[in-house]
Amino acid sequence: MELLMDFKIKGGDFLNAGESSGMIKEYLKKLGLPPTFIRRVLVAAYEGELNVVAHAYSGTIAFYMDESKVKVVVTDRGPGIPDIDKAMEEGYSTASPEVREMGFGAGMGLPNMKRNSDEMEIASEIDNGTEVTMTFYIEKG
Amino acid sequence: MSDYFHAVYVDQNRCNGCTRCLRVCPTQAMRIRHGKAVILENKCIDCGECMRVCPQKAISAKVDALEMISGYKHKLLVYSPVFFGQFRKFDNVKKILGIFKLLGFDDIIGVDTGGVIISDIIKSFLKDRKNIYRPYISTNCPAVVRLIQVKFPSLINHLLPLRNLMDVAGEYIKHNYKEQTGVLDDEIGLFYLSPCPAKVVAIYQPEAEEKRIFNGVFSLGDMYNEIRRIMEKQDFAHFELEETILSSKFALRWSALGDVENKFNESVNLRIDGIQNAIRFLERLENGEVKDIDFVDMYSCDNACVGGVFTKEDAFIAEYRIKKIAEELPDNPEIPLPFDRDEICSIGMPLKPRPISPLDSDIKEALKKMKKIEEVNRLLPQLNCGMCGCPTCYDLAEDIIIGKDVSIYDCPVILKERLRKLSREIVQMAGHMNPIEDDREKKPPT
Repeated sequence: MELLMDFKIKGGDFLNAGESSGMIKEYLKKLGLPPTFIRRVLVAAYEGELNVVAHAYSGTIAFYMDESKVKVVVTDRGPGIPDIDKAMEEGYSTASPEVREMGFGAGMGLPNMKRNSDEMEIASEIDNGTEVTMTFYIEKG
Repeated sequence: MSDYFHAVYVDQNRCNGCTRCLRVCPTQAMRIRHGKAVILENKCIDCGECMRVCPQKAISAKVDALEMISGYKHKLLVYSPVFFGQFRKFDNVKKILGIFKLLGFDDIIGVDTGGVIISDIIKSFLKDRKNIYRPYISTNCPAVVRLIQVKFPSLINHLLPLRNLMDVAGEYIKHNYKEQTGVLDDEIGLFYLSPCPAKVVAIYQPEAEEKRIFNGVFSLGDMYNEIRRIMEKQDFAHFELEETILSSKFALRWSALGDVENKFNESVNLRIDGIQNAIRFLERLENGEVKDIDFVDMYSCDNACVGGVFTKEDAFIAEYRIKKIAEELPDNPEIPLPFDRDEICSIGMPLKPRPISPLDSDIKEALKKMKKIEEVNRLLPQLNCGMCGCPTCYDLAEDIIIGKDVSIYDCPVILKERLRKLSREIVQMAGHMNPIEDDREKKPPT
């Protein structure tokens, strides 16, 4: 599979969160892939991007593709995830009640990524960072 | 792509290829070829932005001529209430409507009546939490509907699956007229007075109907001319509509100004006007960034329909007048409904996306082409100047790779660079002496 795009993400830059996943979406739209497929990739990539912005110091999103699948790899330098199983539970969030009250940190990030991708792998190291690899198989339209 | 009807067209004799239209087209549907503007049919959404800016007035919209009504025994008119905003003395709308009768229409009704009929149905639709594709986007603006079909196909389910106000009003007046007179369908001509080319297209090729509802459509500008001529020539003092106007404060403001705020008050509603604002919002919606909004009344024109391409009056002035007229209307008018309200508010068939054809049906080929496009695009200056006849450098790269009749030397910057390089080479070559040449010849004579 070939690397088609590669973006840097700044931790804490909520203002520009979503730009990288937006570019991936534009690429897939130009290719003319089915809207439902594009949506799955977009939602998952967006959540991945937001996770880096919210939790890490910095990170990258890499977008790979061939004729049968898309792969999105989100890598960050950050605190890491202590309990991946816990983080995968819907509604589990490390956000403070105040943040939740403002409508953020609903604990749907990783579950949403899992639900929208066909395969997802997480590798995380405490105090070092996290790498999430998501694969999406292109359904024949 | 002759499957798609378009109202907007270019008069090749008037066009001087100035590129103004190229820059404003929201779907990149314009090209300049052989010095003239050409519209790409699969991309055009008939919003009419190009018509507004054309300094040569070379871009117009197809509409029907008013004489068309003589072909029908019974003539019914649905007018856009934006029409009222065009007159300085707007307080007596019944007089303005009376002139329509003078023109030969047997019955007339405003699009706003559609608003009175359908608003409760939309309200309960929005209340039902089973309807999950929020925000729902109203289908009142056909340019917005097509924008979503063409550029945002993934958002197709967000379009409100109910009839637009124009079609509701059309079905209503026709049902009602038949009920009252016993006249048959084929004796009735149903016409629409439109503020914009997008609605002309919606009449000739309705997106959510099996067959056409209206028989013809007139431009609000043409009608303004016609009525002004009558006013100059004829005593129309006694032409005043006798019937009550079936409208409400809310419906008039909604149908002309897109003003929905207070009606569906249990849900969160927005009005978005202006095609660039609409695109920005849809981009966000597509990215999943829009939350907690239930309904968006979205219009391609600034100020919604009152800013329509066919209008004469300044949109802000017209808006003021319509608000004034609305003050005089009732809150909840009684509308006689001799038939099933749900039926005339339901669409004939679901809306379908109409995505611009992919680079290639084979993904492997499409990926290859995509890479080539990006390679070419990297060579281009990214000035997006339009001098090559494409709206952006990327569009030129794409047109080159998909095999349109264009070349990279259509770009004036590339062409000039190439010419400069060539002329340097020519000078160099000219200075080079061949062994058979006697270089003494070149020396000045002593």
